[in-house]
Amino acid sequence: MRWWIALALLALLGQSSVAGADPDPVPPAAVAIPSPVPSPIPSPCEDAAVGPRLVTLLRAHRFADVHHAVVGLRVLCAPSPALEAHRVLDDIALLRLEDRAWALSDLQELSRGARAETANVVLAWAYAMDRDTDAARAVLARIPAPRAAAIAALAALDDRGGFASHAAKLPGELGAPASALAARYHAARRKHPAVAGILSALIPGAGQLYAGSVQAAAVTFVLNGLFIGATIELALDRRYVTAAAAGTAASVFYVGGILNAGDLARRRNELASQPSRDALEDLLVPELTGSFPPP
Amino acid sequence: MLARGLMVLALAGCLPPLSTAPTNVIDLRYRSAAPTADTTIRIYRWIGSRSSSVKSRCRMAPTDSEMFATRAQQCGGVTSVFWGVSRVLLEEARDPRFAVPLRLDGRLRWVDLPDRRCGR
Repeated sequence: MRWWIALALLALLGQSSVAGADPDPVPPAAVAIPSPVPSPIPSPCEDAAVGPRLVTLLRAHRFADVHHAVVGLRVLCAPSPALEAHRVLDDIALLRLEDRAWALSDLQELSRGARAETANVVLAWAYAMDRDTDAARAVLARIPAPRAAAIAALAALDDRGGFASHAAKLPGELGAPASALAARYHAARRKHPAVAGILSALIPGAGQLYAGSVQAAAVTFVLNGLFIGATIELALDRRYVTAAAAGTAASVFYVGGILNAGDLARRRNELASQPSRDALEDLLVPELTGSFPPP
Repeated sequence: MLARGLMVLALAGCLPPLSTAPTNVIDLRYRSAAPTADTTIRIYRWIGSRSSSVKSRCRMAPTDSEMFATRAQQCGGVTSVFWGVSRVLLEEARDPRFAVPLRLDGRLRWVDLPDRRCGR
């Protein structure tokens, strides 16, 4: 019996000594490291298709998408001529989005680099459209005369006389089509915001009807009718305090209705004339739609 | 104050559900740009964000209250109230002749971004 116990103890000791011993270091099996396979997707920093894609977005008026894409590229990519072109596209998109501060500062920086001419053209256009004549003149002086005339003509588009005087300085191949597009642009702007406002002042809702919105006209008419009617009724009942409150509300809706009538007419003009404006911009300042000359 | 109170009622259809985060860049920008511009707007949003039955129904992007808060910062309260009424009427006009339609948050909305000039 004892020898069984001794054998069992020996077996236990033997197991624990094996378990407690450090295992011999076994060299890991050699793992075959695959040789680098070129990725089928090129880096966006080197992908020549990124520029045309951004231009497509810009032409589709997807300005926020252009901005977000270029912000990503600016984070990922080292400075390069391609990135400078993307930055100009970003600045155009931001200007279209009325986010001017960043765009103007970036264009100022770009106007000292390899993309100076393109940046100056966009910068001059931005200042001219913002009626900042001194700044526009300073930048236009750095641009060849025909280009400067094209930008000045575009900035004066809403003034028929001003546009004609600048268009006369354009090269022959640009002058005639620009004048034709400007004529189409003016023909599309058929609604007069001032007329709409005056009509709405005379009869609330009439200006909206003139601008082309029956729904807005009906709502304006009903709201004004209710508030003005309530004011008169309360005043006749000699409830002057309540009448004053209703009158205040009536005046807010009355003035708001006049503003809305003018705004609707202006919006209708802008959207109706947008294709002609786009074509004119493409003709006179092709940089605005992403057509850049080589740096 | 009364005019602002009425403005709140007029904007009642445009309540952004602040209990959830903005899900598009337009709302994100204009909701965070002027989050505390106006006490009325804050109260209006506070009430709305605690109501489980009220959802954003605004057809405009940014919403009327975001636009009002942004304008109030830029142009002052009185101008913003008048333009706020105009914005509500623009929403009624909803037509591609007056604003650009955009699909946001799974529904059609009309884009009308604040202008730098206060006169429009």
